[in-house]
Amino acid sequence: MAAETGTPTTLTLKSNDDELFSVAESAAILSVTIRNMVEDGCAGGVIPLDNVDGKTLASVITYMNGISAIPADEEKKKSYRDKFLSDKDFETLADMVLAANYLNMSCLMDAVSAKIAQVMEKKSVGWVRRKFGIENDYTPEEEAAVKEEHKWTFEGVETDDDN
Amino acid sequence: MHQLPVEIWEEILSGLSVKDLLRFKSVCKNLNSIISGQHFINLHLKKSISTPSRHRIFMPRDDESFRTVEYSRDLQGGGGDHIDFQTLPRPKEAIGNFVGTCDGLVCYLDTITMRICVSNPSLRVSKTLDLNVNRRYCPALLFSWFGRESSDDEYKVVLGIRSYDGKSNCPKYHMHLIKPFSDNCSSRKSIREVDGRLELIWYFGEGILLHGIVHWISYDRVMHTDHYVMFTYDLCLESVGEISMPVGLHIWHGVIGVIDGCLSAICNVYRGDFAIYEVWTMKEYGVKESWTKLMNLSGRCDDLISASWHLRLVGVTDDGDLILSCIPKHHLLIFKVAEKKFEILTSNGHWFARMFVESLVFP
Repeated sequence: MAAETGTPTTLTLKSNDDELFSVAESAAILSVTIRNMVEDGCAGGVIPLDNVDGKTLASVITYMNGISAIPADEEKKKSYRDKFLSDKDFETLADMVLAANYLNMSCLMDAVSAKIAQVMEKKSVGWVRRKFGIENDYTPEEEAAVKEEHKWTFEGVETDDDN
Repeated sequence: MHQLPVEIWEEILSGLSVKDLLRFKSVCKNLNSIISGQHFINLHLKKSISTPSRHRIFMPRDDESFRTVEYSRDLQGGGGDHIDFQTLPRPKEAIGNFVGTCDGLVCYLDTITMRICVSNPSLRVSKTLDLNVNRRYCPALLFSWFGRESSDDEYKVVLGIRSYDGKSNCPKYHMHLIKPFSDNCSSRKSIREVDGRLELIWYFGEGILLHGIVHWISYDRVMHTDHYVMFTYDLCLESVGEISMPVGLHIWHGVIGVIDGCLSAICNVYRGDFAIYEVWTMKEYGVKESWTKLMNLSGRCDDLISASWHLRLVGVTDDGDLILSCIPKHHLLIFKVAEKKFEILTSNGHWFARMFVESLVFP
């Protein structure tokens, strides 16, 4: 362990598409899932993360390194998170929310969820279906009834012509 | 992309406004069932209460609508009068006396029909409940409270009603405790006659909840001379009581509220020949010796408020500044504690302005 040897311990994480990543243990244990593995002594070799692909894991590790380099200052951490998420597209955010959930990283989870919610503001029903790959399982009658019940919420919605 | 599990959906959706959520019920059956579920409704409410940017100020209007305004974005930083008020339709049953607001719900008592209306204007749903008070005996509402108390998380309405029994000219005083959402009819309403203490109450007002007890400031008609007391009603024990106001203050007019977790009073006090506003707080609950003066509100307010006005504490901001409504001018004011000065949030305010969060809570 790092504390005993005095040198930083490095962990090797493996994505589900077999990419390998080296990351400092002190940053990686922001993930409760990884921390539990380390504490259980299962982190000796390569840590397989079966639910995260390489592209997403690379992003998450960038975040882990970035946020753990900031001393305990909630304001600075928050502005780092905002900046980190500001250039991510919707698909990346959706992958990251799943990864953050799997890795049990509450701070990233909260930030990504909030960011996705912010993107969803004033969006149309069609936009949500398309972006989240959701199939409409209402019959036309059922859908008309649900829409009718909340008719006023369809006012002031962004038009549905964006990709 | 992968389907998201329910807990992730809940996390994401809890960051959305009520209007967006109601619209997204049309996306698919799964989202509809998540958004309609009690677990999500509570999560969304909890998140709204703990997120300052979602705190709004609610103002009834005399016409057919309610207005709400986002406090932090629209009013802070010189919103002036170019404020983006959001208008919510007012249900036609929501008439009469404003009883209170809690968790996005608004409660009214129609004193002509003696019916309570609890409405969620963001959902556009409301519910009415007949009080079954005999109108022949001229019932009059003395004071009221609506809210949720944390011990059982149930919404409750408390009403103090004066009526005559038709036999004598002596009025009777009753406390009504109503649980408008209770499924159990026998515990939904409880009424008890209160002894002469209620005669003291001269001042109509909305109660303040603290430690499971509702407080009203009242003027002691028996003692006369500047004597205010706090009348209390314990929601658990269903018992009435009294708490003293600061000793030796000559109060011309006072309002109560909660500042920093303590019962507090904004008193218009005679000092020498003129009256000024002072904020007092009861450091130790129920201990009258612990009343402590927090500050004066008189500094540099001459142009904005007059000592003859009535102020009401709407709420306290995260920075500890006081939001106040006033009459006869319908301003909404903020008292910046650090700078010791008043600013006008809007001159288009309302006496019954209240802190408010939108919610999915179904009345």
